[in-house]
Amino acid sequence: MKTIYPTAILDYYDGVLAFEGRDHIGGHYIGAAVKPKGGYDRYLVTGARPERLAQFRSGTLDLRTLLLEAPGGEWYITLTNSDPGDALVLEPQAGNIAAADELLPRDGYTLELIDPVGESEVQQALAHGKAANLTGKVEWANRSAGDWGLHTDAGVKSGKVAAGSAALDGLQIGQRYRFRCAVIDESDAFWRHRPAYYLIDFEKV
Amino acid sequence: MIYREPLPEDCPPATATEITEPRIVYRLVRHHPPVDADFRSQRAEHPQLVLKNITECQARGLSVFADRADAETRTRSGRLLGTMVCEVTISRGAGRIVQTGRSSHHTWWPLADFDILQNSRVVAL
Repeated sequence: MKTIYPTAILDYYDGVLAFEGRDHIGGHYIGAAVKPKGGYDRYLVTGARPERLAQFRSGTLDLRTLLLEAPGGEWYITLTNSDPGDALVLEPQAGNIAAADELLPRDGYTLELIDPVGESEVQQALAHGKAANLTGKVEWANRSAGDWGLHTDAGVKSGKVAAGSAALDGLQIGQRYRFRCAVIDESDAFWRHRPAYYLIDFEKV
Repeated sequence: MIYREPLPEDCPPATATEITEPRIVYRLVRHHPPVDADFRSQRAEHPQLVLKNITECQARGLSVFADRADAETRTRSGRLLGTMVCEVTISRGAGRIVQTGRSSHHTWWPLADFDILQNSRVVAL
């Protein structure tokens, strides 16, 4: 059976309502709470494309839509004796996820919009030495949304284009680049901080 | 001060503020009108549950929202389907509260003497 590791709580109400996780090869997952069974919380889990996960995190994508996009139609339910603090063991489920309506969230379950990070916050981060050079293959680059993913030796790092900085024009998917980024702390549902990368410029390597 | 549920040491945290002025918060309930069971913490609901992702103090508090819209959104979660939005007027003597999360989610630790049901009404079915 598949195992994933929760990496962030995305929403909370008397327990974790939504979380994101990774498997051992860096694949991304989204978990959504369903009705508890036997006194344990349970989660419906699917794989998720990093850029779509980022859209859910930033409040621009609905959770149901994200779950219904399950790559390969594969979906899972967590074993009832595991907790989002642990590695979660996933039980594969048969049938089309769209038919599991009693488990899916209803339309319109989106997180609150995050205020976009402005140019001044980027400059302030750089002035305080909060910068990172990431090197890797470009996994995706969404010019209209201004988000990107880079497959580095430490796994896929995703981020956004910094306000007032380089656009993603000219970037080639699958090619190796060095991204110079400002690093800005963002919080999950519990104000736990994690780095968010804002691309300043890039060069092919 | 005696809280509605037993709390661990240093709970509520120092960042939680004492409620002194009347204000409205929103809680999701399963009964109309609300009953005591609608105001039980995650810990009270699941005494044996091992929680590694949140603190014991958090688990013994009640989730509430300052914004009604945030509460209404959560009724769409698969786990919370069938819940209703309940308005709770909290005031001096209601306990301590702190914002926990990027939405208007707050954790509230009610005092034992505060009559929650008397100050609650369902506002959205």
